[in-house]
Amino acid sequence: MGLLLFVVVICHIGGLVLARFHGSRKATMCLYLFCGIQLLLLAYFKYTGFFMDQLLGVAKGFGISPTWTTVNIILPVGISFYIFQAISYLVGVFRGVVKPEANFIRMGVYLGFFPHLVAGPIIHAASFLPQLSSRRRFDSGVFLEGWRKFAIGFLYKSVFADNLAGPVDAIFRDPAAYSPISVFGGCLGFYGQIYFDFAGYSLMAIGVANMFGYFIPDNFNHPYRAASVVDFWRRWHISLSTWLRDYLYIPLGGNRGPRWMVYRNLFITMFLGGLWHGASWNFVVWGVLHGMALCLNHAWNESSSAVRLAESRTFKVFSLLATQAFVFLCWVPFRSQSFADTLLIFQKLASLAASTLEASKPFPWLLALLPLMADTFLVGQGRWAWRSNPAFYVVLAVSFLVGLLFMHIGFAPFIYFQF
Amino acid sequence: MRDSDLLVVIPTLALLALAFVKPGPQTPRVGVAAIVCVAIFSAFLELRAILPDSMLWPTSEVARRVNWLHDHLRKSKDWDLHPVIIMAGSSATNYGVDTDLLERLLRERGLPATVLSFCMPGANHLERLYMIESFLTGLTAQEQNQFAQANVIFLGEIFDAYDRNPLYRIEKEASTERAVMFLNPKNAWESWSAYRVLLNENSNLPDWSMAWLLGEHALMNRFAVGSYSSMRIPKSKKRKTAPFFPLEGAKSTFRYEEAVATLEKFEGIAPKQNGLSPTHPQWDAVFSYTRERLASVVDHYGFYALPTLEPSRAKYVRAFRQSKPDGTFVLRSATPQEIKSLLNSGFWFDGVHPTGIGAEKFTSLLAVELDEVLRKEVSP
Repeated sequence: MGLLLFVVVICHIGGLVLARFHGSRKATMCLYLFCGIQLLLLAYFKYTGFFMDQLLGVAKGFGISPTWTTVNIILPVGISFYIFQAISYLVGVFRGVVKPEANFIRMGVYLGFFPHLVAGPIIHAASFLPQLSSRRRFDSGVFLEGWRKFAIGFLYKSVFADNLAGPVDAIFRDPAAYSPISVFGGCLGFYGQIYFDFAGYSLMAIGVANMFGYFIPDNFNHPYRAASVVDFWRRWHISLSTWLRDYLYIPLGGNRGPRWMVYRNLFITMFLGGLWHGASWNFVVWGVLHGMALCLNHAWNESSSAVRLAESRTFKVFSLLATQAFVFLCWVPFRSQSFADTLLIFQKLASLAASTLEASKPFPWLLALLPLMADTFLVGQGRWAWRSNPAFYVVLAVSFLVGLLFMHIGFAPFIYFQF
Repeated sequence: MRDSDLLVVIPTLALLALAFVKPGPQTPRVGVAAIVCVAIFSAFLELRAILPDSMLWPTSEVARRVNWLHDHLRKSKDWDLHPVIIMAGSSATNYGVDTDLLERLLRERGLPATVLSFCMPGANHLERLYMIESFLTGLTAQEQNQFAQANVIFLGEIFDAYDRNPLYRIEKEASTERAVMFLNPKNAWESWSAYRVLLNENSNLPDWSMAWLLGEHALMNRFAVGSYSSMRIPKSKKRKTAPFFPLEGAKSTFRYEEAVATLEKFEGIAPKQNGLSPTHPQWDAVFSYTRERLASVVDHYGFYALPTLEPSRAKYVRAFRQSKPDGTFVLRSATPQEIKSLLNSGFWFDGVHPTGIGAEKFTSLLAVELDEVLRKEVSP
């Protein structure tokens, strides 16, 4: 709480100072200063332990035995999210697209808005701050839409993600003890769990915001329908990918300059995006893999073959499968407890063809597949909708009841709390 | 389609319905939506209240255990001519007392008795009572009559965590398939009745705190879905029926040497008397309620404490002994020499639960303690 207050104070003062020196060289200096403070806070709380750990490892490798021990700093909840929002505000004021917020309370609400505080979505100052100062009127349609989103998010998180968490955790805790088919089940379970968990939280946050009369942009748009890695990042954790694009990729040069520079920018952005998720080599590997895939995807898009195959139905199906297979495999390092486990799981997946169903331990295959398939191929297609107020009320009520009946009991924290 | 499959299909259908059913041309009303929610919720509860429990939770852990106990009673020869011991406890008894062995040991001592264990890991006092009542109502009219005539001894486990908070462990693990349904209005009322005594006795407690507790309990029990709550448990998982389960090995977080050292330190410094407050008023209220409910069946009420390596538990047992309710007895706890004979890492799964070998020792001790009491205090 103290840290959040400190960030709010820095952000508030920073915004006013940046507005005062707007357009001058001093503004640039101030931007570096205030953003630097924010990033230092993030680096201290999130990466100090990891950095010290690595340093200790290197020192031991050289036969030196340092006297210090690694520090265990508790990561403040939501720090990665509200610091990114603070930077969004400061840069917005610097660029002149956001008006400096003179009201300290509003600044506090922007950074600490409770529905999304701990795990996003990351709200951009330009879209949210004006909502805080405008007069709001209760709209029952918006309220009920928020309720509906909350109910979907509740099903995603409490029923699908949390019920998958148990079997998935068991397999990732000790992959060596499971057969290749079981490990595949665990990976498939995590593929669904991480989506339902994070998208569920985002939907609940957006739903609650709607109920209060605020609008937060969507954070997910059926990412498992993506037929390319570029498309995937337009659908997955949209608020983060937009932030990375606006405040990292574009300042690095974006699409300007020679091709190699564009790829370099993409790679750096994804590398840092991976590191943002946590101080671990697993996240770095995940970010690097996605960075490389994005570069390849962009290179392919510019080739003549891509243009030729763009309308081919078979190629579309192939692209979808290939993209999702890549995303699926990338979740392995993301979820594994260590790099050694990652390699072991890949080895097991490689021997999948030789495995038989009989060798698998019981795994809730239907739970891992059915909700995911329904959500990916049916929900949000917009082909038809049954419009009826009474039916809508009943569906809302029954869905909540179903959610409460089938939700997992026990402690299953949101995966993105740790980030 | 299996039950577990259905449990995935229903929420998935709810998700699809939420996605496809949209408000009509008129602006939807929040008030109407709220009324519909409350109505559907109430209808659901009413439906559950009307249906018999055996219909709602036919394969739950409680139902399976109760069925096993019915079979056990019916197989016991002349059970109505000998004492019937009803044990009500938690995992400590579930893993710590082999009821078959206990019956055999008592028989060898010339004290034939039927032991019925209403113990389940994590079961709080109200849940134990629910199990006993389910058992009694499931007996035939003739058996119920025989039960009323028999010399029935209620033996309650002394365990501080449960006694200080009779709604202990309100969060139910999916894997326990708990089948207690406090939001069923009938059972919610019964829980409330148990606590009303406390509210009358302790005017400092505002009513809303109880309502909150019960509400939380109800929600955490997920409207008592019981057996339908184990969506993530594969069907092939071995179903538990018998009231005794031997544990093997040791809990990963358990450090036997440390536990023994702490216990010895406590025994060395703690006087026999201690300033601990005796039983908790909530426990008093629940025990009064239990007595009231079982008045027509139970002839004697007693308590027992199983050996433990946890000093706080041992301390509580002493305090309990000093303030036992009127008209009840407490089995003597294990003596220091007996405890010493149990100090073997192979006997302990953790500080409270024994392994299978430990359970044999526990049961033998309990048989000795029961022998003393059965002969003196509870002869018919």
